[in-house]
Amino acid sequence: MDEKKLLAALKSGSEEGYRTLVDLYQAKVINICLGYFPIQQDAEDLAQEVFVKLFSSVDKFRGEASLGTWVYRIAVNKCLEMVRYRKRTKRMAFFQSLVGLDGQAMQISSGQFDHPGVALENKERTELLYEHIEKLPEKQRTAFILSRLEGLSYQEICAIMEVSLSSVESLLFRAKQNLKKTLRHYYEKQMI
Amino acid sequence: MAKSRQHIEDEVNKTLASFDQIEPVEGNPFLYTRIQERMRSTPRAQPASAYTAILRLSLAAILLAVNVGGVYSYYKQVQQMEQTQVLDNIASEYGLTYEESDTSF
Repeated sequence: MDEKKLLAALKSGSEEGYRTLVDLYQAKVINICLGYFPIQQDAEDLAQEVFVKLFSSVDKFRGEASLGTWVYRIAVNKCLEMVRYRKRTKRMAFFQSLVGLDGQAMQISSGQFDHPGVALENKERTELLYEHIEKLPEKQRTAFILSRLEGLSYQEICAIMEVSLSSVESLLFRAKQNLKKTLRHYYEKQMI
Repeated sequence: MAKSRQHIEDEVNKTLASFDQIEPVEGNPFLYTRIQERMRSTPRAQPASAYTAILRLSLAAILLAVNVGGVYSYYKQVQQMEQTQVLDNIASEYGLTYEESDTSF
């Protein structure tokens, strides 16, 4: 099924269209989600939300970008929404603990680092890198994940993030510099 | 010192390179079924009914009326205060004010 036919099928609400979209893009969406949340269960839950959002907003898709770009954009936006939600929830839990309320209802993640694509011998290093990626500003983090994890070209990243080529270059450069800086600081502390 | 700095640089580079060794994950064959379940369990947003629209409009009208009333009564009060103040000023200028000291010889 080509893109136009798929889009028409999606807009008409056809089950076959939905299934084709999931088959075509589920791996990409799950990998993007894993880029933000390296826990398999969390990433799959988020991927489900991404597809629900895609199905419910397909009528608004005007076809200015390619279907793939649109899927990536919604996946990135959903991940960033979740990042912000978790930050808010952590803050709430902190304030609740300050005033003596029990923050047990604040279950925000299903567990520890569990990225299915990471080999056991690299687990420690990759987990450490993820901890530092989490500290990057949102745009730098997104550009870094799309470029290094998904292997997307600068042009594709421009289209997904809706920024200029020079902005993408600058975001990636700063992301690498910041990561190097914080990792250097971490290893210096370890040496002491 | 130079040796330890080099060691740190090596560690930093190895850690950064670990991102390139992540294998892309294949999809989940049950994902579509789970999405369907989720879509069934999530109620779709209903368009606002006529009753809700009327209720919203009435509330907006009441709020507007309360605000207009508040502003009107405030200006009326200010106007009255200004009139009283002008009369007081004229009275004090012409010595027409009544003071307690005038009667206490």
